[in-house]
Amino acid sequence: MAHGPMTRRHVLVATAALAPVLAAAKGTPVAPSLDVYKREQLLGISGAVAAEQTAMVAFEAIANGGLLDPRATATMRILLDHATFHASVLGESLKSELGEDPPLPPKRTQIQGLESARTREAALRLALRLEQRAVGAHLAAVRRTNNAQVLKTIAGIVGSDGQSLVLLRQLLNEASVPAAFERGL
Amino acid sequence: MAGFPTVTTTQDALRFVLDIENTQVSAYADALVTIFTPALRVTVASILAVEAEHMSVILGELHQPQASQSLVTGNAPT
Repeated sequence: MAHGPMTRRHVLVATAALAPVLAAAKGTPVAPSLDVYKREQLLGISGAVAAEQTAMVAFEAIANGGLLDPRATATMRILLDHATFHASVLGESLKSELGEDPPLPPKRTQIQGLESARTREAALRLALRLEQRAVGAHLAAVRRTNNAQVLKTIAGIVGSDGQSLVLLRQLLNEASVPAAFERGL
Repeated sequence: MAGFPTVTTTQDALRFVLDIENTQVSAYADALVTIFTPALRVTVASILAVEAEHMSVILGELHQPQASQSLVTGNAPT
């Protein structure tokens, strides 16, 4: 190219090659590559699976820990069923949409605060915090993917987690719906 | 107002409000998959969660199970 006359084709090729640099320099957003987009989705959905798995493991321990009265134990078992289903369906999405296996669930000893929760109040507060973290993880996933199938699944899960939060707050004698937006932790 | 039901008892009112919340959850879930802006998707999802929470509270007032579904997607209006 340096040895001959500059043709219109040369200009077009050079412009195309420089487009991302020029766009970035002007502050114009550049569309992410497919790899970057897939990685973002993977991070988002994996985070959501991990949050539900953590809730699942902790809820089982709390439900079987002998700290709760019958009403709270029954509620915790409902929440355990939901968390188990959520972890499973999100894991399936991870596999079908991105071809990745879901992460392994954590062990009880890996869940911060679980061993030290030795009263009804402490156990329910931990459950509330984990449910809020799950909502936060789902919102992070919603930000990272625009896959319609995944978004549809997460929409149903966020609704279910919101209802689980109401049950936990009622057991803790707190306001059932304290804010107009449920943003999680 | 077309389609507005006759509400004469507390139960009627609660069931009507539950129906509205149900429809809202469904509408937000439908909207979520059509929105391209990430931050707006997050806002819509966080509102959907609160509408589902409202449903749970109303169900409690109606002495019905407050969190019986693992996926809360609402029902489109009939």
